[in-house]
This record gives sequence, C-alpha cells and structure tokens, in this order.
Amino acid sequence: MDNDELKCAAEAVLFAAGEPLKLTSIARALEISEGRALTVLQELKDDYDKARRGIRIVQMENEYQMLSRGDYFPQVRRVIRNAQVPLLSQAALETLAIVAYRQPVARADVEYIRGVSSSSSLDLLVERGLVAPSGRMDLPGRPMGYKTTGEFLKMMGISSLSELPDMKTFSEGIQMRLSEDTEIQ
Amino acid sequence: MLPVHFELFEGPLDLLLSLITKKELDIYDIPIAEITEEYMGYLYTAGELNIELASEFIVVASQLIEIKTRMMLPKSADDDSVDEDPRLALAERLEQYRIFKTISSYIGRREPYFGVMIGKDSEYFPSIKDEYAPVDSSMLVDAIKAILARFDVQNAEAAAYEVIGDELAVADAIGMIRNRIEGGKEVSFFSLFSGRPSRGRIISMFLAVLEMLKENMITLSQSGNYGDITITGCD
Repeated sequence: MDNDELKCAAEAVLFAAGEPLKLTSIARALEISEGRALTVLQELKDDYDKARRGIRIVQMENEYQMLSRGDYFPQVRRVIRNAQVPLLSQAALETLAIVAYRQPVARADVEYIRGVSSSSSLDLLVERGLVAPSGRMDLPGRPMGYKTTGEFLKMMGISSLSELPDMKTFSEGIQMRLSEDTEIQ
Repeated sequence: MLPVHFELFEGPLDLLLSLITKKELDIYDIPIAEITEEYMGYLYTAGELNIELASEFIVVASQLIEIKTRMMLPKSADDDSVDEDPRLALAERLEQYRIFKTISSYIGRREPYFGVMIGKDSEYFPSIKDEYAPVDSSMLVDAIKAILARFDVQNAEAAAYEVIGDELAVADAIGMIRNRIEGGKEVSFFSLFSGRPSRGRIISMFLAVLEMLKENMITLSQSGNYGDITITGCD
C-alpha cells in the first residue's frame, strides 16, 4: 500500500472502531510498523485539521479516535438526544485539577487540599470517565490512587499530560495569557 | 430574616480565600483577628439561616482561634525554638488551594470547547473492535476450572509423591504478578500456574488475579474460546 492508501486504511479503521484505538492495534491492522503508523496518523490528522473538516482525529497519549469538531456541537446536539454535556461543578473542577497535577493521588490528599470531603466529586469524575483508580498506593493504609484518563486529555484538547501548562504558570499570575491561548485553540 | 447576599462556598478554604481576596490582603500576612471575626460572622449567619455547613468549617474556625491565641501570647525568652509565624501553615495551605482553584478555572474554560466533541460508539459491532475480546467472569471460571482439572490429573499421577507445603500469600502473589507485567509486558494467565503448584498456590494466584482486576491494576483479554487469557497492566 502506498502512503495515501495507508491513510485511507487508517481512516477506515478509526471510523469502524469508533472508540479510541491504540497505536499498536492500528499498526497491526495496517500491517506496518508503529513508527510508520505514527507518521500516517499524523498526516491524516493534519489533513482533517487543514481542511477544517467536521471531524477531527484526536490523539490521547497512544490512542486515536475520530471525534466531531467541538465547533459543531450546537448542530450535533440537535440530532443526538442526550448530547447535552453537563458542565462540571466547581467542586468537580477543583478535584479534577488536583488529580491532574498530583496523580496518582489518594482521596484523602484531595480532601486535605480542598479542605472538604470530595468523595462525591471524585465519584462523579470516575463516572464521567475523566478519572480512574490506578491501583493501591505505597502509603500507610494503602489508599487507592486516582489518575486522569484519555477522556480527560480529550476534554482538555491535548494529546498528552506533558502538554498541561507547568504548575508554576498558575502560581505566578499569568493566567491571563493562558485564557487567551484557550480562545486561539 | 432573609439575607440579600449569602454566598455558598466550596469549603472553609474557599471562604477564607474569598475574604482575603475581597480585602486584597496578602495570604502570608493575614490580619488574623479581623479575618477570624469575619469568618465566624459567616458561620453565625449560616446558623441563623439554618444552612447546614460541613463540619470542616468548624475545624478551620478552631484553627483560626488557635492561631489568634498563639499570636497574642508573649514570646518566652527562654524558648529557643525558632519563632515560626503561627499563620504560616494556614497560609501555605491557602496558597496551594488558590493555585488549584486557578487551575480549575483553566480546566473549566476548556471544557465547553473540547468536552463537546462526540465520538461514535462501536457497541453495535463489538467483534470488529480488536482481535482480543474482553474477559467476563464466566471465562475466568472456565479458565480456573481447566487449571484445577489439570491439577487433579497431576495429583492422581503423583499420588505416590510426598506433597510439600507450598504456601503463597495473596499479597505475595500480587507482587509476583505485578513484577511480571511491569513495563507493559503481557503475561499469560496459564503461565501463572506452570510447574506443579499446590492447590493452595493455585487459589492464591487466582485470588491475586481477581483482586488486581477489582483494583483496576490489570486488564484481561482472551484470544479465543477457552484459550489462554492475557494479563496486561493498566498503567
């Protein structure tokens, strides 16, 4: 298969899968190396973005998924029932912020930082698939640790946790610049 | 009595931060008497309005009062301990909370844009998803039955041998499995029971797999009916 055909094949595979697919699975399906698959997917992603298609190829760590472009949510929600995305509450956002920057983090640490019980926020985030338990931590009492998921990356519009702004950015009062970045994206 | 404004806060730190921000105070130099008074005022108003506040509000109230008391005490001359500002621990906690609150609003701003991208479900064709199918409990039951059946055959053969104690704690079994899946390695379920394990060892291993599954430490997949089950770490 030449490069264009590979791109088409990757596109077909992503469409058929619907759910996020691992790079290894895509490479295996296309019978190419992971390195090659990475290039093919990047090109496919760029094609979609350059043409500003209604669909994007979204990368989350080593997974890929076809998603409708956020700009067209108003139109999409008119045809899909329950396409309402209930925005997260302040409590849930604070909890999510702590998990994102402290992961893996135990429930007790989240509660200490917020100063209030955070069980329900944490449960809500787990239910929404933004946060997942990551196994027992090597701490007294072996508490469960929590980490963010691919769904979180998707919600943030980033493809890896390393793309999160450095924590210092938030302590040095340059949030204004960050908010401008959000508009540009 | 109906208040014109009664703001609800996420917690005691949120309330304190709001009081400090409103007065444009420095987190590291809080006029503790003034802030304590305002803080208590809020708690009383909530009480009058029958608004139930979380018990954490009371805990911080007592901390404020403690700090206030310590600041009023004269410094003893023979006390060699370093004179740490009694407000420091609280200030650091407030600063940390302030940072995470800022991050939360950053996340909140991105959510309405990126959180509304819709993907389609593949539920209608679960078979095309991957060549490996997820494992349900009945598959695990079949697998452990197969292993125990093999054990029984082996034991019938080895009836003449002396059975040596071969005990394994579930926690140790978990450790063994964890070591083997480290670095994203795939481990065969059947390989956990290779050799001639005792019945107790088989049970410990199996319980370890169940425990790790429950704690989301591993995922299982099976390549075909009654085939081997592949264990992979979740991280």
